[in-house]
Amino acid sequence: MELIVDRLTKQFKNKIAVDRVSLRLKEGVYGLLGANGSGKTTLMRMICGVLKPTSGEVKFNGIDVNEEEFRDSLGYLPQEFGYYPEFTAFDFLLYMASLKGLTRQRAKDKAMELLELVSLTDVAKNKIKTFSGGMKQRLGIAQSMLNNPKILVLDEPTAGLDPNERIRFRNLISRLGKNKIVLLSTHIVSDVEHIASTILLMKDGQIMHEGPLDKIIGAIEGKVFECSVYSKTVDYLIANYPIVNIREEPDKTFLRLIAEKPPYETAVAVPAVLEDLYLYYFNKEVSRGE
Amino acid sequence: MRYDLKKELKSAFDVPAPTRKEQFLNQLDYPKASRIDFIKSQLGYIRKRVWILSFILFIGTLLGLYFSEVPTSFVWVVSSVLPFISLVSISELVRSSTYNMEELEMSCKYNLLEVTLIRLGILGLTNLVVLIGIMLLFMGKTDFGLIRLGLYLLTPYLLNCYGTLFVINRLRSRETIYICSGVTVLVSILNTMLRTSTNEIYTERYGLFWVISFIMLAALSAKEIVKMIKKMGELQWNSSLTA
Repeated sequence: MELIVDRLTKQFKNKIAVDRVSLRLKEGVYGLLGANGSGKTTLMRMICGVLKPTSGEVKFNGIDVNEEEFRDSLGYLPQEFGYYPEFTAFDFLLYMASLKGLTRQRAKDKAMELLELVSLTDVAKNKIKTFSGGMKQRLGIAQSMLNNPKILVLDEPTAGLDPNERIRFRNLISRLGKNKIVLLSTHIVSDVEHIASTILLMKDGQIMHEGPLDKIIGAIEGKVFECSVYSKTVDYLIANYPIVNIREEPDKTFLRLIAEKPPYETAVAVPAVLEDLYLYYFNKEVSRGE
Repeated sequence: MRYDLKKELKSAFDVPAPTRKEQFLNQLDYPKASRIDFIKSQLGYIRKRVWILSFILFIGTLLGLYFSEVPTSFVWVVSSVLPFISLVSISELVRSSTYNMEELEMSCKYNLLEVTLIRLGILGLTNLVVLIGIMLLFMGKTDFGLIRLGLYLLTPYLLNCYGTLFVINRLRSRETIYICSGVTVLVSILNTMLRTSTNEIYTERYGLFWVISFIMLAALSAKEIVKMIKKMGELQWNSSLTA
């Protein structure tokens, strides 16, 4: 089982959203991490065949993304999706199952099984318009698994879920990754850190880093420092280094920052985590956004 | 093996708990629905209002012709109502974009393009049956032949098809259907105004006008349908797609 993305590019007028991305994905959970506007959604849409690339190709076991057989192996949760207003949760799943080519009886069985899995059995006969954001998201996750897909593409799947639901969802994804290719995008670092076996760090339409957590973090190992300093030093450090964390203490300010060498005499090197790397790469964007 | 021996064996050994049951079940390929099953299933997803409006129009024409003293003047009434049938059909075609279901439907085995073509086929057939039924009701009640009757009834219908498809192919938002409704009302009013302002509009004097209008609008509608189908292949660009 192999999903090959070969030099995939998408250009919108004068903006290159995805720039020659090449990937080889096998069974496992892949976490696509990047800031808003980094090209994650565009890349996922092309992988799912809903957006035609400007150049490049996507193939699963030699089957092109435009073929029906490819879509038959695909489960997709878009970042935003709607529903027909007259649909109940059960109707919605039956409708999606019909598009995925399930028989009526199989659709009913699978819909009930998945509603149970995402804890929506009690509201199966309720109209979707009465659902909260988290419930709609869980329903979206359920529809993506109707056809028991070999490729599962989830765009911001944990958006709108409460902490308990997120943890349940993470566990579910971890289990699914054993016999599927799961690609999920998020800008929530902890989601990726907990469930992805491989992390893909995306910036400006390109994959900057690709690999397991420890390999990815290696890029900034020894460059993360913590120190407690007085206010006048705080301003200097904020202006010159990517800051990961600031915490006000009684007489000083605690800082966690990234630097090539100790930025201050009392600064001590600490083990790096994925959030450090994320902020290191996206710091400029964050600062500009603010 | 003797039954009681089997029973003895069963009671002597504990059945081991299933291992990797989930993985095993996941490997199984379940029977898939055929394309015919899929088409049948889509029939159920066309909203009731399509069937209800078609039925009402047919019965309304039947009753109108029964009670109307001048069936010829009833032609413009029906031709002014027919655009609403096309509006209801069009609203079914753009339902996916109206309710933001496009992306989900595009990623399925039977994708948006196939769903739209099937809906188009079912709705086109329904409209055709209604139109033929109405024309048959009119036959013998008016002096018009089948072709002239067809021209008078279908030209406003085609004008509405073209107008609404033109809008759909250029504006894609949840509000598109409201603009299409405006187009339909306009077509209906125009048709009524044409009849009231020009008494001889249904005479042979205007024959060429009807023929040319019919051919042009049929060609333009066909062009817009092809354009719409081509656009179904992928999401249309907007700023949110660069996210």
